[in-house]
Amino acid sequence: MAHSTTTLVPGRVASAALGLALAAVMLLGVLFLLQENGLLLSADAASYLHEATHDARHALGVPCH
Amino acid sequence: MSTASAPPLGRTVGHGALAGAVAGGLGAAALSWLVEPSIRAAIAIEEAGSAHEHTAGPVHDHGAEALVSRSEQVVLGLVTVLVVGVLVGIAFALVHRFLGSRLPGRTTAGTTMTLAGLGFLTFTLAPALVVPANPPAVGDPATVDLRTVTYLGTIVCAVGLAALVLGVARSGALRPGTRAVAAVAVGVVGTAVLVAVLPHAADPIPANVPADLVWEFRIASLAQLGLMWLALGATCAWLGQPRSAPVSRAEHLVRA
Repeated sequence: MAHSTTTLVPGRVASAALGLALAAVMLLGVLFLLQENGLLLSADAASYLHEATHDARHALGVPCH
Repeated sequence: MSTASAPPLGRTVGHGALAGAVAGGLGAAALSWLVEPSIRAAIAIEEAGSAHEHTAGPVHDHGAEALVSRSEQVVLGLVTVLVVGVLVGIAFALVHRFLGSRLPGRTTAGTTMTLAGLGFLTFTLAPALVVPANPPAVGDPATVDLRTVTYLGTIVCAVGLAALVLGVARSGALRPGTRAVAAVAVGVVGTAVLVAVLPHAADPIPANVPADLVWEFRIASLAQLGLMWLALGATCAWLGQPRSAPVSRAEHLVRA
């Protein structure tokens, strides 16, 4: 019994941490897609991304120029 | 590594991606049918305005210098909504997997729909009240940084407030009646404080943009987002149903 709890709990904590970190990465992906305006990308790439996602940015209610 | 009772992490991600794709697909359809008409009208106003400003050039070469053509922009906008749906769907399923048991609702489907409702309130409605969505012709480039920080800050504050309300509602230190009153009070006072404290970052509407157009756009945008949350929650709830015992479920329904 003691053995099973000591192996289960760290696994469950690690799994929860991994899962919630993955969720955060997904939300950062949304942020990148809808709010990247030259922080990580070059100016040309950023303005291409901005134009390509422009309708979605407005429709999803994200602030835009 | 994985526990006996919980499904593998990959299945949660897969369910989330599938539910997100359904939500994103419906969202793209809503964008196409509900929101695009207002975007088209706003772009026409925007281009009429800029043509008026640059009267020197007889040819309005907006289309030639554009990085992305208008038709590409429409298609890529739909693709973006689909991709955003999938990403949010994966995050949604993961959050529900690890925090769902702390949410109100007697069944998995119930807590899934609760989470979808909270997602709509915190990620959509709260920022929409502080920094409302605007069609393309509205929006001052000089204020975009303040609007973006306010928008993201509102989401963070709204998520924090929702967590606080749920924490109070589940608090073991209070009696059930007191708990409910305290949770409602925290929610009401917290909302009032946020409304008072958050900066008024919304841009004024330019005189050449009709108020009808702005409201049609905002309602369509909210309808699209609400539909996406509803579809995400419903699909996730359906995918999360126990699959093995349709007979006992049927018996349960017959008895009810």
